[in-house]
Amino acid sequence: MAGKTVHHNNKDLPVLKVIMVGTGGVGKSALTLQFLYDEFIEDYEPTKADVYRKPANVDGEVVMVDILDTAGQEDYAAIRDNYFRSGEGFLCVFSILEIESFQATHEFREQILRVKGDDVKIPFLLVGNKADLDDKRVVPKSEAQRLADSWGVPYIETSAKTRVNVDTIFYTLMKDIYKKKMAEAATSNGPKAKKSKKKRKSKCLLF
Amino acid sequence: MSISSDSSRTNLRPKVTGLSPKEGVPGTKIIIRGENFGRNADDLIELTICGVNCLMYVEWINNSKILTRSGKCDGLGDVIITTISGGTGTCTVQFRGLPDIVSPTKDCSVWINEEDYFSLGKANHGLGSTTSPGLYASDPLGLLPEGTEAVKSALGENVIRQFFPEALSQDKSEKGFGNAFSHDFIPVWYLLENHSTASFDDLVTGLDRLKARVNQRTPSTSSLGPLQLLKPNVLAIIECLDALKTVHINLKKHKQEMGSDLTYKVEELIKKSLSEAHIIFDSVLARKDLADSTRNALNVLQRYRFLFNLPATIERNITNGEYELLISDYNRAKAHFADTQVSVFKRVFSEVEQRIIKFREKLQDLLNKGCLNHENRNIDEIKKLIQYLLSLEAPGNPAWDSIVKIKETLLSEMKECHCKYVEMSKLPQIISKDSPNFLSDGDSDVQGPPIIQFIEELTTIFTTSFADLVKLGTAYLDGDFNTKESQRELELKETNFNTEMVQKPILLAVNLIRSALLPGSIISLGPDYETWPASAADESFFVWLPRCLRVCSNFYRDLTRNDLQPVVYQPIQQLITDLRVHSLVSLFNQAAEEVKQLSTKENWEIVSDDSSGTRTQLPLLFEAKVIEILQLVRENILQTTTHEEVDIFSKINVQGRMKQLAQNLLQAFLLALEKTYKNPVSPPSPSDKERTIDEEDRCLVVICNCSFTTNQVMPRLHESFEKYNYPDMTMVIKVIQNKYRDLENKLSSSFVDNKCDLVINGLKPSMYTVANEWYTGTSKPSEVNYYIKEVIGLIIEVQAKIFLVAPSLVRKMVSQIIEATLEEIATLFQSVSDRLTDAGNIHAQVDLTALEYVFSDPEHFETPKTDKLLKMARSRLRPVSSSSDQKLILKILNRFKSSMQLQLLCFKWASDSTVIIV
Repeated sequence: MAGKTVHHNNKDLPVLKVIMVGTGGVGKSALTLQFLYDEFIEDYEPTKADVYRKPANVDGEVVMVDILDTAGQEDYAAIRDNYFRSGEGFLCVFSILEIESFQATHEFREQILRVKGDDVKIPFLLVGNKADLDDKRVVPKSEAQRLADSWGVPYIETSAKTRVNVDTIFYTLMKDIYKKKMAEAATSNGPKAKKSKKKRKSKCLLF
Repeated sequence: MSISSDSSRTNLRPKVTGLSPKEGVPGTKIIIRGENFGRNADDLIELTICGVNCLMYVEWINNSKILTRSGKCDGLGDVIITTISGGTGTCTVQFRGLPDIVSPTKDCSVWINEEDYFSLGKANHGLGSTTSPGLYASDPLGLLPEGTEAVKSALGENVIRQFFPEALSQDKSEKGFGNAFSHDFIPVWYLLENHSTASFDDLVTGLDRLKARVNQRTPSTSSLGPLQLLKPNVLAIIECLDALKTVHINLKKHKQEMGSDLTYKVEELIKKSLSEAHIIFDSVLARKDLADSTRNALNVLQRYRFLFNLPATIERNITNGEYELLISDYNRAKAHFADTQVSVFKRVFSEVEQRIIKFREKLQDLLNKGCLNHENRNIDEIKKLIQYLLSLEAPGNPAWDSIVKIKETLLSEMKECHCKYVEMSKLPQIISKDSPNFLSDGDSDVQGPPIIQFIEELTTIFTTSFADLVKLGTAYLDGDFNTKESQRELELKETNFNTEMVQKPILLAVNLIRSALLPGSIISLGPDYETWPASAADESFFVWLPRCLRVCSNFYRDLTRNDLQPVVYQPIQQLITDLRVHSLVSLFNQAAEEVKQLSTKENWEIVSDDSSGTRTQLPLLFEAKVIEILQLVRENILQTTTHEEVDIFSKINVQGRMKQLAQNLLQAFLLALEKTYKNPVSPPSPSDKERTIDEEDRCLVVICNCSFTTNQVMPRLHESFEKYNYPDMTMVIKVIQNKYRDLENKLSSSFVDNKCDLVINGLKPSMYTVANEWYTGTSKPSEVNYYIKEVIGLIIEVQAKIFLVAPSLVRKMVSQIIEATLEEIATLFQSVSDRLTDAGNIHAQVDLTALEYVFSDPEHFETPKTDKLLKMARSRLRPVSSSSDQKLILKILNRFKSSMQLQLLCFKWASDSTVIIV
């Protein structure tokens, strides 16, 4: 019984749906597990499709973060569309040690935009992983930054191994999703939002 | 419920938050992550996925991670973990079970329940139950009253289950927990089921009884003998005997049916089934193997498709010109497969290598072409090609080879250019030799003689190619190509580059230009180079010199953009300086030549004005010419284009040379003037003139021009020299002025001598005859002697002649003539003085007085010398004493004065130039 209640409570929380994308072996699962469980896995076992959902605190609000860790391998490319449709925010991960993974980000970006109806404002982060191995780097930071700028998204370099920027990417994305959700909720609840805005405006005028 | 209600355990309630993967067919290995998965493996007592218990597969890793496999389930469902410490948990994620589609070749494990099979066989064979009721009494503990069947516990099965949570998942129909023969026998369950009401003491008694029975029976079998055994077990033994008998009968029957070997038929059947099985499954298995190997091959192809596609990709990239992509692909392949032991990879990689070698050759080819093509050479393209070759680890040193090649190309281009134009200049000149004037030769549209074309083409070739060379060389020495050479090697290359690649071509270019323009300044270009024919740069070539100089200056300026050490440009600087000097000399000499030719331009039109006296246009033409040349030289030859160049006049030898040139130039006019006098050219249209100009007139004009040049033109030219920043010409001007004065004096004295001779010769016959007659005669004079009047007439004629041409010279020249005349007369007086008669004396007195009257007038041409001569003449005469004679003299003089009034006026104006008589 008690278990059911907890379940019920969790269901009330707003769910932020994050999707990890990127080619195989760039460290999507590693980033996810490091973020959620402080765990770093050395062995590589290709992911099929993993799901994680945990409560998290965004801007002081408790939310459920739902992370869908997708398969990077080409074999699973066809089923990505279904996954992407449900996503609200995307972490597009590539490895700074592998130029192909960087080049593939284009494809992911295009597929996401196609699935999400070309909404360029979809919360999206370009993530260069394995930053701890900077001496083997082949993707220049500037180039990645330029790409991110061209998309109008942030570019962050991470290391799942040393946990550098791991929280940053997830919380940044979650904040973006949360903000977007709130904004959408506000527009759908039109009159209420307008009222509060009006009030604020008049206050400003008084000052 | 009672277990999970404990509030302290709520915090330890298991919670599943992660599934990897989130869906799968039955048997999928799943990693479950979350919290509170128990203190240890034993703490975990239940795990259900979609309601299916998966505890049997569980591998407990730690408190937050366990591994398991999914059971047979369909659709979305919760993943619930139960631990002893935390109770039944929750989950935030759900698992989706997928249907397991079994295909012929799919591995599948089937659990065959053999128990059912054997129980079936038991019934078929009609064998009796092997369980002995005696051996396994319904009440082994002997706690129940005799004869009563075991009564099921009042508690009921469901209640008992509450105590055994692990049994919950078991099939409810199975009742093995209370059965002592079951695998799942649970003693406590048995007690609860059968003896729930018994007290602890009863149970202890029962236990003892059971122990006693077990102990009793074991020894009893050995000690009591077969009879003892038979007695209680007679029923079982009879059963055994019956069974043995049945077996015996059946065996007999079977032997009858099938012969002695009973197993033969079975064996046959088994063999047959085996072959049947082979028939059925061999093909399937073969197909499976084939499919497996195909899949493996496909996997390999898929996994290494990069390598397998590489040869084709290389071809495509070569045709598309995407060399960078190609090289990065190749390097990637090399990193992965260069040391591969797999033969197929080796083969493919060797094919890749083949193509790369071909590609390298192609690149090398392109590079060579690029280096040899001096017109459209794209240095960035070449750099790129070199980079490609380096990254493909091409043999040798393509970067350095390219530098050498570009240099060789440059040298041979220059040589070709040289030969081409030398040949051309040997041919009859096609270009019309109409000399461009100095101002229009600046048009580079005008195609010059071969030398000009040569220099222009050479500098263009050199500038473009050399820039390429320097760019490439600098890039190389800066280590842009990453050639992995040591510092020392690079330093060696740098010196080599500076001498071979930079200084040598520059020196060659400079020498080629020198051979064309300044053939005297170099010894020889070497056997491979023909020398320019002498006709290539003849006298008329000087007009092109400013253009040459401009081309060279531009050349120098273009080269200095290459940012090399200044010492490199020294030969060019020297060349330009030499060329400047050469041009300077040529132009000045040419100008001097032209000035000499000015004599032909004399038109003898006389101009006279107050300030400058009489002259013709010639000195002004001369002045204009000199100023023109000064200006031209200053603007075209001396103008420095860069800061590095110094004014050539700062060199003392050039200064001296310049002075000499200036002197020659200025002196040239002197020659021209002399020429005009000696070899006159007839005026262009003598008919227009009122009178022709004879030699004496020319002499006068030249004198005037000399004087004008000395006094007016020279100071102005001196100023011009200063204005155009030439070296100080004061001394030169002075020397030249003296020379002009010499000429002037020479000419004027010869003119005066001429005139004196004329006057005196004209005078002499009359003078001497008359003088002898009259001065030695006895008759008294009636008038002034005739020769006096003749003297006056002759002098007036001379004066008129001079005045017509050069009024300014009248006074000076006429005075000289008068002096000479008077000297002659004085001599006459001296010679006759001792023979003088009285009448002659009066005669002489009259004549002398008349002369004195005419020439001793300061308003006329009186000079100290005339005065002295007259006085000397008078001293030779005896004074007239008789008054009648004096009166006579006075009378004659008065008549003379009145008759000669007009003639005397001629002298008057000479001192008063406002009176003009023609």
